[in-house]
Amino acid sequence: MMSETKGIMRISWGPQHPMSGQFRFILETDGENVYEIIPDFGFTHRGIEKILEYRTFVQGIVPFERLAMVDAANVGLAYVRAIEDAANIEVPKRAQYIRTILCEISRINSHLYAIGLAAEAAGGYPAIFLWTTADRELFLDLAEMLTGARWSYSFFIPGGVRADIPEGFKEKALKVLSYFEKRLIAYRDSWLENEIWLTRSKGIGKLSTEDAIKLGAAGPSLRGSGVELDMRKEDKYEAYGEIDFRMAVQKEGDCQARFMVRFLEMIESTRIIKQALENMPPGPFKKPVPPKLPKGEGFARVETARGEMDVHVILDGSDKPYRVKVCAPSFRNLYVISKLPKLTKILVADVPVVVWSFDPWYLDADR
Amino acid sequence: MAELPIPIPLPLPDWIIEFIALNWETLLKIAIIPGLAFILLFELIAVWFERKFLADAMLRIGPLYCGRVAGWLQLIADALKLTIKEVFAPKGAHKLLFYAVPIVAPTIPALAVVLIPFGPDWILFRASGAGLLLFFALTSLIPVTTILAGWGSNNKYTIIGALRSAYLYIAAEMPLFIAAAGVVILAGTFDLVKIVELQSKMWFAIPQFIGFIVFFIAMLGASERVPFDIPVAEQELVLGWRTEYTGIAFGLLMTIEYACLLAWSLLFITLYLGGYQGPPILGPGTASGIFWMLVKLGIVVAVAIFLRVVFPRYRIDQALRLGWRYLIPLALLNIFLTLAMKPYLLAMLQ
Amino acid sequence: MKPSEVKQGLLKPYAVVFKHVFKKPHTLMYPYERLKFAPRYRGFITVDLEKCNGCGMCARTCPDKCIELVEVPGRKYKYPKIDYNYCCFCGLCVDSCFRGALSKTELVELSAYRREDLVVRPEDAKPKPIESVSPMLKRFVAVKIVDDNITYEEVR
Repeated sequence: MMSETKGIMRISWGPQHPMSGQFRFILETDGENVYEIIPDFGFTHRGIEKILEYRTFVQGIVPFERLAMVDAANVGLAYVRAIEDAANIEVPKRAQYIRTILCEISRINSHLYAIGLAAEAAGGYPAIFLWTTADRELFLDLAEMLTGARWSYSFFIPGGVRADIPEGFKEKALKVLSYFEKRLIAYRDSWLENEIWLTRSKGIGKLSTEDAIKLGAAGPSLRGSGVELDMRKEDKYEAYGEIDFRMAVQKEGDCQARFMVRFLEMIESTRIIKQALENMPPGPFKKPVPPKLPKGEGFARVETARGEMDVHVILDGSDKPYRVKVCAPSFRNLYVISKLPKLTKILVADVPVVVWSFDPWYLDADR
Repeated sequence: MAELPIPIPLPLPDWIIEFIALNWETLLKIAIIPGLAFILLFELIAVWFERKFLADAMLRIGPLYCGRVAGWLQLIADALKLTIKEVFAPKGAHKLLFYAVPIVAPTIPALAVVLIPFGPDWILFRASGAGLLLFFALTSLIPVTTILAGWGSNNKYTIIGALRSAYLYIAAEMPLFIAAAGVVILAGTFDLVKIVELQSKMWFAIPQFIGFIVFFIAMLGASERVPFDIPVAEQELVLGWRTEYTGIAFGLLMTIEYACLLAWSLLFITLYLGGYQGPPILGPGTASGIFWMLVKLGIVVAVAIFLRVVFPRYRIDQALRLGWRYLIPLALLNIFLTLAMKPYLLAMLQ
Repeated sequence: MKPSEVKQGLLKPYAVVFKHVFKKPHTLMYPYERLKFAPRYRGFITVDLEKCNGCGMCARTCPDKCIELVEVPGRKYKYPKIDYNYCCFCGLCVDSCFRGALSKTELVELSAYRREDLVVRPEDAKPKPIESVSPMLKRFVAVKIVDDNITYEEVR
């Protein structure tokens, strides 16, 4: 398959591939340099926005979180907050803290997954890949204790959460977090400062600050290029306004900076969980909400692990939403990836590392 | 007529029995050590070691059920599975090259092993004092086979993989030659047995420290181990030049990697780590030459294999830059230092 | 490369990874061992025929529409029949039952040879011990964190 220019071929970094996820990138390359990356959308489109019009509000949380299952809590939170914004429902304080804890557990899960697969993308680096898988198990067990499922929580409903914190959760969570902090030291020593990893990821895929803002990057891609924007600090939703944590920002804008941002965010997540568990207020964990909600429009922004997700909901007085529109962070990051070969030099062997440093979740992008 | 040490009750003609009786030592060496059985057993144990030991580092258990104790039969089971699978060439492939490479390629590093001394008299082919040269000549045939395999497969991914393999091998072989040249300058001979004899007081690793490190890193590049396994198992080029091989042809190609590692590790031990002699502190004659060779081989191969789980892979241009820009100048520096300090170093070795 | 870089970038990862060889593996020897799931775990759903009064709340709440009310011979009301081909184990039906007739168990070994076998009628939706479904099971374990290691200890 040769295109018009002599010597440039189109390689399909395709859906059936060990390292691309379920997505097809078309690379225009001459064997080493990549001249264009064209994302080919639509492989995993399921029409979730249309499905939601035929589900009631409580039923709708289940398909919605399948948008990005690895990070299900943050994504499910966006929908629920949009409905609460449309119907002016006030959530009790205890529910806000429980939501925060589950969101941060979900964020740690998602970042560990991204790190493991990025290490695998850089060359079959089995140690980090399997360590992250093993450490995720502990957090999945924690989430199972709280919600009843390991990945597909379906735990947030308009008005609060579905159940309260069970007995023994706090002690187990503190034990897991102290073990995890020791593991983070092992990750830093053997992965972040690994000489060969640094040659694979430092200075590669550089995205300057102006380009990050202009092209619309989201999440750790944005914060890895020096822009200080985090929805948790902007909107101060749920309990984030009362918890003290730092925003993880790096200035360089290359792959290593993005991974550092994820690493630092994991450290901050452990601190958030500890503070939320300490300061848990007493009270009810949900508020009764009528099945039919009055007419209105609602909007919510949530900082998922991959970036900012916006949900716009229009209610028409019945028990199902009239229209739900989702703006996904991975879609924006894929646009940035497609513009990247024009900005910096990328070789074919860099493509996996660069793509995984932006960490797009393709089901998010295709919806 | 010469007598056999063990009577063979088979109706063989006289001239065969005479041939075996006169050469029974050499035939034993060809069959067992350092010959066929040794190489095959080494590959078995090396692959088992890689799967089990690295699995421990990854916090999991490697092969477990096949072979009650620790899954030691797993590799034999895998090899048997590969023999019963279909072997075919893709459409348009050059059949002669395609089928010849898996048969020819593993024999080349195995042939290079015959030049290594396992004891003062235990060497298969002395090559009248040019063992080192012959070793390098034999191992430079390896990239020829990989290029032929990649080209003969009629697939654009394999061609890219074969070319990368060629580039990488050139960049890795130059530092090997130059580092070995440092040893030759110090020893004054190409003969491997004499090089080992000269290390009886102090191993060459200490006077040739820079060459020691350069040789180790370049050795990984020459046998395509991590962090240099670029032509193979590429995340975007399915399996490089090995893509189109199936069945037992694929199994034979897997053995190339370990056969190369074996050949280069043995040369490494002979040049820098004292060969078949024990550590100088213990004095001569503590244990036989073969025992020391196996111990040192085990340590060197274990360290080299364990690198797989610690480091990711280099990009091809980074690996080439490492070879040309860092390893070759370091090896040349090693030569200059050796030339400058030769009298002192020779005094150290007496 | 400076010597400190070499030590930190090349030798330290080697040492850190090497130490893991001496840790216990995280592997769970399924099917001889099995993790004991949390009490809230959303697995197979059992129906208590005494408590159910056939109101149909569960069928209305299910997001995948996999609950259908059917007649059971010998009983008064209609009872829920759950189709596990489509069930996503979200547990909304269990939460929505006012009488507590539906409950979750930790059974997840639900493989079958035919699609029809996965549609469970209400009289068959009884709690089953896990050993009956997975006969190779010998013990239940739970994760125990000891300092830097993860071990599994047996629980009843």
